[in-house]
Amino acid sequence: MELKTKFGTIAVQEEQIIHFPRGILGFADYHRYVLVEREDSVFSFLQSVDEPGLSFVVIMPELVRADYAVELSEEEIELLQISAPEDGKVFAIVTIPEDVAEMTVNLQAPVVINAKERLGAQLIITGDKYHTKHNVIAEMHKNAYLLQQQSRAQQSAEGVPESV
Amino acid sequence: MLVLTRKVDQSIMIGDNIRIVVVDVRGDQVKLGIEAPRHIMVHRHEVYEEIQAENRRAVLKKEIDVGALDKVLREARPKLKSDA
Repeated sequence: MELKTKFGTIAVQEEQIIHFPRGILGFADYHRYVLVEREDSVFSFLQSVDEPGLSFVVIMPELVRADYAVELSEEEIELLQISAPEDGKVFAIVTIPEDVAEMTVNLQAPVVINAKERLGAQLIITGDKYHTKHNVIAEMHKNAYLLQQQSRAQQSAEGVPESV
Repeated sequence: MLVLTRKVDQSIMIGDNIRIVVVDVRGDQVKLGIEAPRHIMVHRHEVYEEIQAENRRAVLKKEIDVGALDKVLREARPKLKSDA
């Protein structure tokens, strides 16, 4: 099957289709998606198989928050048929405004995909740690800075001189 | 809208398999317990609406060049060195 999408024409094989039993919030009628990943990009696409006009840009949330973690409820584990933590791949939806540099990422409602079972769901993280509009570039900077601080702290803890 | 009066520990059924229990009432706050099948999402209305709205904003409105997106991120990076 060929789909003419906003990011080009893609070929979709039956075995690539991921079923979203609950759909994506606001798009409850669409249950079949494909994840289009590209080796040369941090951006992937979540593309509806039934509506070529329905495409989302997604990233791995670790790009903006190294410590990002999703805790699944028992119901969600069952829904996604996850048997080991590594079964679940987590993505976050990116909103791209007119000024691309102002792109934001929704860390409050990640998309979790079990590639093995080809099941997916958008979850909602409760609490106020994450919201729907994190500025991607600002968060990337903060994230890289924190990682750098961490590795410095680790180095000094291990007694490795900084200028080796 | 259908309006029902319930006391603490009493519940209502929506269809055959959704049950909502009044767990506690304190002042103007009501604590509700919800039993629903897995495929039914249960969330506070405000949260649900906000995520729906954000998803709608996130749907690609026009053709996109993914290379241009990566370029924006790459170009944003050099700033980092001077920050740190």
